Amino acid sequence: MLVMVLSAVKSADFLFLERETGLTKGNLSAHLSKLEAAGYVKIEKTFKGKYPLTVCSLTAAGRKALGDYRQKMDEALQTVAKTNRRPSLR
Amino acid sequence: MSEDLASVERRVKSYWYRDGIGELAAGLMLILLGVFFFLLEFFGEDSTIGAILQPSLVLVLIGLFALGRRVVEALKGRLVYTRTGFVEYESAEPKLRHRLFAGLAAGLLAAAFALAASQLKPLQTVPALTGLIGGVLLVLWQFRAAGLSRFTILAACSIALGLWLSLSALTEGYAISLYYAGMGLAMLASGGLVLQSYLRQNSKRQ
Repeated sequence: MLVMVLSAVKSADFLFLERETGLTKGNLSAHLSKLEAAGYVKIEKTFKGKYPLTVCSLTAAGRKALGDYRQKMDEALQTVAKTNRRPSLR
Repeated sequence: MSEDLASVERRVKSYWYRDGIGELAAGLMLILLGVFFFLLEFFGEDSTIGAILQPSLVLVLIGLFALGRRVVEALKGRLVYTRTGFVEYESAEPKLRHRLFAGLAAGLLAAAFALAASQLKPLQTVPALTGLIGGVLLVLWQFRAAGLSRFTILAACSIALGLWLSLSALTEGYAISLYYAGMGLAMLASGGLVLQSYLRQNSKRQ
């Protein structure tokens, strides 16, 4: 869910991600740390006008990883659908 | 899987419109545009002021857009980012076929109204055309805003107001100024109600 939300935006701050994903602060921090360590998410401190912000964005590797995951899931679902359509041998 | 991502995308994209600040800014811009057209009609194109105002329409529009952006950023910074968070969207490059379709649609619409104008002489076509275009833009805005239904109501207001002003006894200039002022007020009201609801539901984070 976190990666899906980030894939729909250019960048988002911690508060937005917390509300959109429904994760607790601790959970969200842990997820973001792991994603940052894997190189899928970039976290940077910036300013919007005079407001300090810590924003997260999906890296190119993160977007590719999400794309690969979606493709694999779609293929798996298609396989399951084909299996269910096959008539039973009994 | 694709459907889940689509619904997440829709929800995330509609976030920008949830506070009504965009409509407040648009409403302010439209009211100022209405004032511009009112002054143009009041002083007349032959007057000194009219001679200055008429060619400056493009500059006025650019200035209003710049003002609108500043109003939105200022209000979002003050009211939204501290309550529900900050998000920045990718600026999507419109595809060539979308541009071609938009151009074709605009051309067909203009041709249809030119034909209607030649047939329906008592009807002032400019306010009706403006109302229709405003309605179409609001419907398109609704698609961008992920289906928020209040834009449909604003679109209906735009078409109805344009048509009513076209049938009124007002001159075209005053009718247009009244259209922009009326739609500006409608958007201020809509945006204001949405913002009020948003502020009530979302307290400032400490």
